[in-house]
Amino acid sequence: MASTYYAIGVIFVIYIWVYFWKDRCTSKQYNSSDRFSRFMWYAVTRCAVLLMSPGNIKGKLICVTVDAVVYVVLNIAAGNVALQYIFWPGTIIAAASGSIRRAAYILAAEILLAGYLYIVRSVPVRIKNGTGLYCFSGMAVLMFFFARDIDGQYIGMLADNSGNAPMLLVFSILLMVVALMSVLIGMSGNDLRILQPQTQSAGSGATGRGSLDCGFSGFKCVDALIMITGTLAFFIMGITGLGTHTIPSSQLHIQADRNRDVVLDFGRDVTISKVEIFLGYEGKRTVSFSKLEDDAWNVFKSRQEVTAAYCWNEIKLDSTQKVLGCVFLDNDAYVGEMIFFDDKGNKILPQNAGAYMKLFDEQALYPENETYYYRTMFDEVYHARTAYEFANDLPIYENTHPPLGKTIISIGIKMFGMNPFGWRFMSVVCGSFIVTLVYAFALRITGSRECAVFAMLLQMTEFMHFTLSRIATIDIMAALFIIAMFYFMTAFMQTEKRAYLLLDGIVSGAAIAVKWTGIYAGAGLAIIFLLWCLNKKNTLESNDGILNNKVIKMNKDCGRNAYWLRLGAECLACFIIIPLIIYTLSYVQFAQVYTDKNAIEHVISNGKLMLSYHSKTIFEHPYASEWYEWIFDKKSLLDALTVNRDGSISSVATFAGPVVCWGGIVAFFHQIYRWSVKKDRVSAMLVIAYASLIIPWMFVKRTVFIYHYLTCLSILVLMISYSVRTGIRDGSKRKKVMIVTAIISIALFAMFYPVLSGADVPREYINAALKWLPGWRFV
Amino acid sequence: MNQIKKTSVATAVIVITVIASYIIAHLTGAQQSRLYIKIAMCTALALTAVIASVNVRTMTCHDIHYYDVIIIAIMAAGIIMRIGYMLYTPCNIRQHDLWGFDADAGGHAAYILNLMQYHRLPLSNKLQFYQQPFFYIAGSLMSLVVNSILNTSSAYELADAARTAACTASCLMLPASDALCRECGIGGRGRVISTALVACSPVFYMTAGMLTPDSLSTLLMVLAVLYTIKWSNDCSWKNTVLLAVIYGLGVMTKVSVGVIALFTAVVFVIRLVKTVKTDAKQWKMLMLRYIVFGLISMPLGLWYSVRNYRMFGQPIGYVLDIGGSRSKLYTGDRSIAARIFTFSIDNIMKGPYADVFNDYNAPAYYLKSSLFGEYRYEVPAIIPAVLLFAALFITFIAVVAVIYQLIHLKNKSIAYYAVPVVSVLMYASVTYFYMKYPYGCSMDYRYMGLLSVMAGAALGRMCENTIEIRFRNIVMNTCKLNKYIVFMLTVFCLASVIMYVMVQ
Repeated sequence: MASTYYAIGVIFVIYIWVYFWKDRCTSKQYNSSDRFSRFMWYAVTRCAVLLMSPGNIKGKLICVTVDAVVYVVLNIAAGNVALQYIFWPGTIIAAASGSIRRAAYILAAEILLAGYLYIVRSVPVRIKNGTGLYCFSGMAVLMFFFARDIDGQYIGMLADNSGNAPMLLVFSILLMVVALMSVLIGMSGNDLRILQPQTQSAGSGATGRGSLDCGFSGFKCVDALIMITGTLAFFIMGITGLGTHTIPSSQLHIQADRNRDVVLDFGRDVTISKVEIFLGYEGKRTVSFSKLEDDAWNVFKSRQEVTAAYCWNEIKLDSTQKVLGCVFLDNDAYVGEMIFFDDKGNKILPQNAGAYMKLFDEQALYPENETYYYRTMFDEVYHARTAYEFANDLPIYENTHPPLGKTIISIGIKMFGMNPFGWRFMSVVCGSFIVTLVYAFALRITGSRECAVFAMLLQMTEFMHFTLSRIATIDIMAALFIIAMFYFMTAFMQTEKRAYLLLDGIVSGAAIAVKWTGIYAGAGLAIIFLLWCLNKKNTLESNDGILNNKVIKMNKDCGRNAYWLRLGAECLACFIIIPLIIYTLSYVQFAQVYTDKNAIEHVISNGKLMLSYHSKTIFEHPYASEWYEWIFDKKSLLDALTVNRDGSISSVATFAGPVVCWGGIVAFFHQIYRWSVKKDRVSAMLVIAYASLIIPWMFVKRTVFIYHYLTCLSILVLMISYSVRTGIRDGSKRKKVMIVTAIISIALFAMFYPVLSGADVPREYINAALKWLPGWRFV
Repeated sequence: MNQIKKTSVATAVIVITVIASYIIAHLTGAQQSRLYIKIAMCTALALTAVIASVNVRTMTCHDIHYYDVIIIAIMAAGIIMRIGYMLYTPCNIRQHDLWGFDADAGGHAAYILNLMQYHRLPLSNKLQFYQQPFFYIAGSLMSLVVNSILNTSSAYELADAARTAACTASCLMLPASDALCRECGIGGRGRVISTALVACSPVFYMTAGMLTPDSLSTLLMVLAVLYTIKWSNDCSWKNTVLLAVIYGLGVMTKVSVGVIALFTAVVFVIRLVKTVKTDAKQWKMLMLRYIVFGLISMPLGLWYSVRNYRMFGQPIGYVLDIGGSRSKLYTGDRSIAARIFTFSIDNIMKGPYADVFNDYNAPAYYLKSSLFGEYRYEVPAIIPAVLLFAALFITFIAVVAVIYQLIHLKNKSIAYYAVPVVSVLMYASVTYFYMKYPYGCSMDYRYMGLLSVMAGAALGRMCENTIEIRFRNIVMNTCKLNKYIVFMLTVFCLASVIMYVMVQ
């Protein structure tokens, strides 16, 4: 529910930013949208909030109907004001509320507001006092209902004198007073004047406006050199301290009829404080411990669960015995190593360790500190293990995402073995390729090598990109393919070379086969492509308009139809057939392991399973965060945390870098401005790409985490780079801004490196220097 | 009447008013019942408003006394609030480090009792005895006068009456800040804004009722800035000696007053450089003034510190340690960014009152403690919330004003850059202090009351001058913004007065 309010707020702020600012700059008064686009905005805003907010359908339908009637009346009576009606938070809340009484109140207020705005817009005098009222009242209404619906604040609390003031409610009321005051203040004189109306027409300018040709003239040798250098530098950074090459590899296969009971004789009475069990392939084992007393087995620790695969799992025993019995209660289990510790913390080995050689042959591999370096962390317990299964044709455990990501991880395992370095290796490779891609992308859209290097540096020092490049999860692969999707589409739009369409189709298929988030990007890609087609159509028609000869015109028409038909067929092949083939091919492994179905049947059955799983995956998680929290980098996700014996900390956290995340917000608004006012198609592409990757999460009800924001961050890097390129026209000033920003980004990366990489660092340093926000948890 | 006479009369009137109010409240028994004091406050405020309205009714804003009448009325309201707060707040309520009415207790009351009962300075530097003595000396003198008239001598009454010194200093802040605005070249409208902000800032009510040197040190800081500007315009012997005495007394009140000396030092250097460039013969005279300045201010300000250093080995600039990370007030386990370089909206939304044990974000705490100290009040929630909202708005605009003025320093006089520079200096100083002593109580706004005076002056200048803000092809003057500021300031003042009339 809160996300609905945030979405309404974001929509409102963007509307104010774009339209009010635009109208001030161009001295236009809200005539910038025709009825069709108004209707589209109306439909989008209402549908979005209706889908996002829960509640009774009947009440909502009534509210939406009333809202629609008001909208239609306003549209006919005062077309321009209708646009303001659409975006005013009160009306959206009213439409989505489902409460008829509330809707009636808000709509009445809105009609009054609209009437007032209509009057002041129509009066040709100096008073332009609708803006303050509109903006302040909009925010006030939004805050008021947020306070009521989300924070549970109510008017009665205003008189409460226990110190628990309903701050948001009070703020909203005061804001409403300010809104009303703004009418009086506005009436007393106009204080805003336009020095000179902006004469620059849309579609002209230095870079990028109206077309995608930004001065990019192909890659040169020096670009290749820069890309290789940057990629290698990131790759080296990535593999430094990536993980150990050696973990316990010999595993005891425990089955119902074999090795189920492990009896360990220590030769004398020993006090065992704890046992560390390194689980091999297949996690989540249940073990019972018993000791032999007077020729009878007494169970003292029953049904202890060890859950993490390829990880040391600790069980406290605190028991004194000579002979210890461990009973593995699962029918099928792989145990890599068992290490027993006495009450002084020293390792102790049973006398009959030789009888269970595989359990006790790699005791030296137990690390002093069980950091991320020696074990699986976060979702690696699923993905690394499944990748191992892919590499060895074993039954597949993780099937809640399509298989390509795990297949890619398994390449590293095949190359370096089943160890942390092996299962993380391909993530570093993918992360490094993203750096390359971002450089190429930035160069393509900005046409400036400096800006491209700047973007590459930002990408290299982006926190989440670095962290997720060192974890064996599939997000970095999905990000790589999604960025490639947008890159190839841009390349196609710039050059119209069909090869790029083909490549785009391939990477689209790969992205979806890694993670379904590729579909979101696909929707964005479709919109970008559609806009390009519309623009192309207009360009062709306007070129034809100057022809007088009817025969030539007819021939042109035929040629144009043929062009669109061919393009349509190519799109069908590239964006439907090729992705489908790739997606199906990714299931070949399934078909090999589970021979009862072919690959297509696996695609369908697994698709159903994934749909069902992701729609029901709602659970409490300390690191879960909402989509709007990602935008501000509110909460980090702790992948691994170890308190070392010397008191220092090794932690790996996933969160966005401040420069990209916060700077990206500014760049995002700048891009919206450019798209809307300057008709910049690069900006349009970037904004749509970003929106397509974030908007779907507004409707997702499952528990989500900040790592879903990874691809958006790369888009933000491109936005920052492009904003610097287009926003600062003075070359030397631009250079300075880029250098300073890059230095800040590098410095922050260095500062936060310990909590991104898992390097040991004193706890005091983390507390004093790194915990900028309350939600950033590193210890 | 010349300026000195005016100042002397105003000061005498304020001192007499404070003492007389205290004595009358005691003699009539009104201090025993808060209700009577609050009725008296409301009556006095209403009377002030009526008299001011009657006077202003026949004037226009072009009349030379138009703004003066309004300013005097606002000052009167401010003084009523300060005296009222002091009278209805007992000596042992909402205090800091009072620690019992015993000469050995080590708190502020004990300091006063040492002076009054034993006619001596504290014999050790334990607890609060390390503090500079001027406030306690002034408080003891005023307490002596009051208690002689009332014929009382209990430890409680001796300490309680010493608060009249704090209250007087807090009241004198009003004419002092107005004089500062005048000296900075701010006109009538701006002075009204500034005076309203200073008059209705709750931090000055609270420090008026506390037995701590904060209000006196703030007053002396304001005077130091004022006389530095005066000196920059006219470096006569009179101004030099006055400035030296102010610094001497200031540092004798609290060592932190010395922070302003950085500003004065810059002014001194600028003056010296200019003199050497324009009139090489005069620089020797100027140097002589500097020497005299040092000879007066340094012994006056630092004698107690030197005494403590010699007697107890107490370092200059010593601050009482309250236990490091073991203290419940310790905030050093939070990052510097979270403590200092961010503004916690979450904290603001949590509630209006500061929580000295759990809050750690300095900007949010500064704002809250400037309004409510570290206390919670049993008043309807809407009042503190409205006060906080208005203060938030005013603070935001004041920060913008200071930054704007700081950016546009080029070719401006010392009178212009005094406000933004001192504001930044003061903020940097208190923030550094909080970095060095990371405790909840280090963020208390009572140490930085000067910022309110500076914010008032910055806002005043902003409202006085119709600044044209240019952005691309749009020109916006601050005329409309002024109206919002006046509106929010009115809300702030009303909420502040209502709040502190209702407080129990």
